[in-house]
Amino acid sequence: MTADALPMPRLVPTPPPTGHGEARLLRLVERIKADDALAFEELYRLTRDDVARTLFHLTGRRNDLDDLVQETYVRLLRAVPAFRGESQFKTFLYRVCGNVALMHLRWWRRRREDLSDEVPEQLFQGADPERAAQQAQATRLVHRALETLSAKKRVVFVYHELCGMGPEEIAQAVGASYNTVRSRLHSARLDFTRAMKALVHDALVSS
Amino acid sequence: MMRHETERLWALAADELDLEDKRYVELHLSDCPECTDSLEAVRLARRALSTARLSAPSLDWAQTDARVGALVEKRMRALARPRWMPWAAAGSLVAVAAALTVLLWPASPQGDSALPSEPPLVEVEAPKTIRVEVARGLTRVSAESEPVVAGARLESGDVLRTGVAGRAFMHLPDSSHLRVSAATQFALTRAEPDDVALTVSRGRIAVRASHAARRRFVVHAGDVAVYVVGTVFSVSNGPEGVEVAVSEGAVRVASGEAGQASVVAGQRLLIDPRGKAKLRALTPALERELNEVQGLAEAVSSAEQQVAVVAAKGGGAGPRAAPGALPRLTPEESKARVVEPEAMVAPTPAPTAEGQPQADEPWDGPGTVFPSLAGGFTRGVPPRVESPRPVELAPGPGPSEKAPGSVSGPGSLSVPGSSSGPSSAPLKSGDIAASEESEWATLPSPARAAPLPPMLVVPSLEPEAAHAPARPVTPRGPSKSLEELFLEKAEASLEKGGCERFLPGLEDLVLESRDAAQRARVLRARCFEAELRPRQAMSEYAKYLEAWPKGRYADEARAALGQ
Repeated sequence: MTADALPMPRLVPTPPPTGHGEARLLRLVERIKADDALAFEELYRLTRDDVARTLFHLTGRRNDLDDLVQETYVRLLRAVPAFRGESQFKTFLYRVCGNVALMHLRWWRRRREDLSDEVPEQLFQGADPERAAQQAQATRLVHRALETLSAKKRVVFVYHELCGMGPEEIAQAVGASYNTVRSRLHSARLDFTRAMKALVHDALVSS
Repeated sequence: MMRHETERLWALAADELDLEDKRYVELHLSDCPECTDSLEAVRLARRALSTARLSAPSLDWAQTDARVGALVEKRMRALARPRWMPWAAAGSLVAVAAALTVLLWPASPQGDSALPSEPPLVEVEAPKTIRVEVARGLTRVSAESEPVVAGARLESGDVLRTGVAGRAFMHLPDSSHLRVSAATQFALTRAEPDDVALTVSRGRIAVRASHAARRRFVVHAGDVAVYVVGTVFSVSNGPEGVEVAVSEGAVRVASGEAGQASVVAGQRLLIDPRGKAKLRALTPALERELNEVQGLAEAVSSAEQQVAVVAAKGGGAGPRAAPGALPRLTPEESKARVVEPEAMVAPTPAPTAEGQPQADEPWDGPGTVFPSLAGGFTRGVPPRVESPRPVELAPGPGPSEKAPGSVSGPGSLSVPGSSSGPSSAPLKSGDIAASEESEWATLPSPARAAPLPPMLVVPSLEPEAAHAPARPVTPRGPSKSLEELFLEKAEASLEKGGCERFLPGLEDLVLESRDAAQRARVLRARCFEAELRPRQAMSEYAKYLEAWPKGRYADEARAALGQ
């Protein structure tokens, strides 16, 4: 066994992020507050898949998703000292993701470019190509429908429908009241359904 | 005109409605084809969402990991640097104002001339960097791993790694000392004179923490945090969990799963990956390792104090060290005092079966040069390494006879092809310590030889060890065993004041000998007493009483413990 054969020190791929408890994340946060770089790396390994998936749905972007992930963790590192444990850390993390996504969406919409070119055909890989193709098509449709939503509605809708967060948690994550969240969510659902209906109709007509 | 229920269709599909609302909307759907179509659209949208929810973007994680890691490292380095504080600026202004006041104040010639002319007091700030004393196979982990050499200065935020045959010894800014075992990776998360935080990713570090006043000294390993006041301890992080061992003082161990516990001298706490904690006695190997770091730290401090004394005597106008901070040697001085590690040929230690770095072989780096009680420098803590070479009994009629080319100690075991020191690191010709090999005390313990081939067993010892009843403490005459000879030499050495080199051998006797264990334990205690290490002496006496409450030295032990 040589020194090179030893496991690499940091940022190695990690198992799926599901299963890590809030308590563990909070312990890591305490260590990060004490300037423990390795604790932050561990936190990164535990949460990076969640963060990437959330950013992907929030922005619908894939080509510069790594930039967004990086930006999120840079902001998180700056923001962790201010985390006082008043909410779940997961909520705090989603809030950082939401801010990064909002900034990106606003910037992107100012450019008025077509999103559809940014989503590659071969997005997802899996053992079943047919299922992977279905997933890719569904994701493409969902993201195009999400494009019709305003940025704030989209964040609320994605948090609730794709990330599984409740309205109270979303209210903490986006810094809005519970009623505002319910209102945005309700409106977003109507807009999303309408957009999906139109997209499916267009697809049927074109085929 | 009937009102459409479009707004509640999603809630219906998501089963978010209460029973009454649900029945109402379902009743409405039965009469409203438009809303039924809308519900179908909602279900389609939800199906698409549930499919999209499972999808994950395929990122180039290796690249992203590297980028995020580099940013984090940069950020942490920035955090670790001392920050500019407004009060510091105010303090500087006050200092400048005070200096101007002194300069511009009308001088009093009488008063000034009456004062003896003292050299200006120049405060030397305690170094805020980590000084590396020994660096064998030590690298700094970064985008490009760079080797770290002896004399190098490290900073907070550095992540370091030793190879499987590597080791390192370094001084922290708070006057603590750190020994890094082989195959270890750790981070100098924070290393300030008043605040130290280390993080052990894998392997083992042993620390002799100073008693300097500071805010915190903490070692992290996984989910475990070890809080230190001033003590000698080690922390290892491996597949079987985190182990905290203490040979002096006490530490507080906090684990998210196992809660908090205090680990005191002579104990080791193992917290397995499931969070279960087991408290056990310190193993001899660990104790030896901790004694090494203690000895090395004392040696370095002593040497530095000597340098400080010489400097104080030699140069009155020289800088005066700040209180509480040991004057540091320059890298050149350090190197001059130190045996180059390359001058020694050490075999690569075979990795253990578990792949986990164990208490590795005793120190053989520059730290092996440490002051003996008789003055001057003694080489090394006698290592206890199973020689990889075939060992044979030295020819000769009796153990007291010195075999040619063998160690002059009582253990007349010789290693063919080497200078037969107990170390597995034979010295090259011309090495400075070749003449000091007689300082090394080896223990020809039969028990240690047991797993080796039969040729290793000293025939005369076997029957004695098997049938020996309780005998007088110091039997004389030709029937003396090697153990007895060793004890005699240790006792004689103790009377002369230099018994440290016998400590490992005595420990072996405690563990492996039936006859000499009691006496060896007491001799260890006396030796520690002679070396002004009362805590370890007390620990030895306590262990003696625990093992032999009615032993022949029980009274002495009780008296020492004040019982």
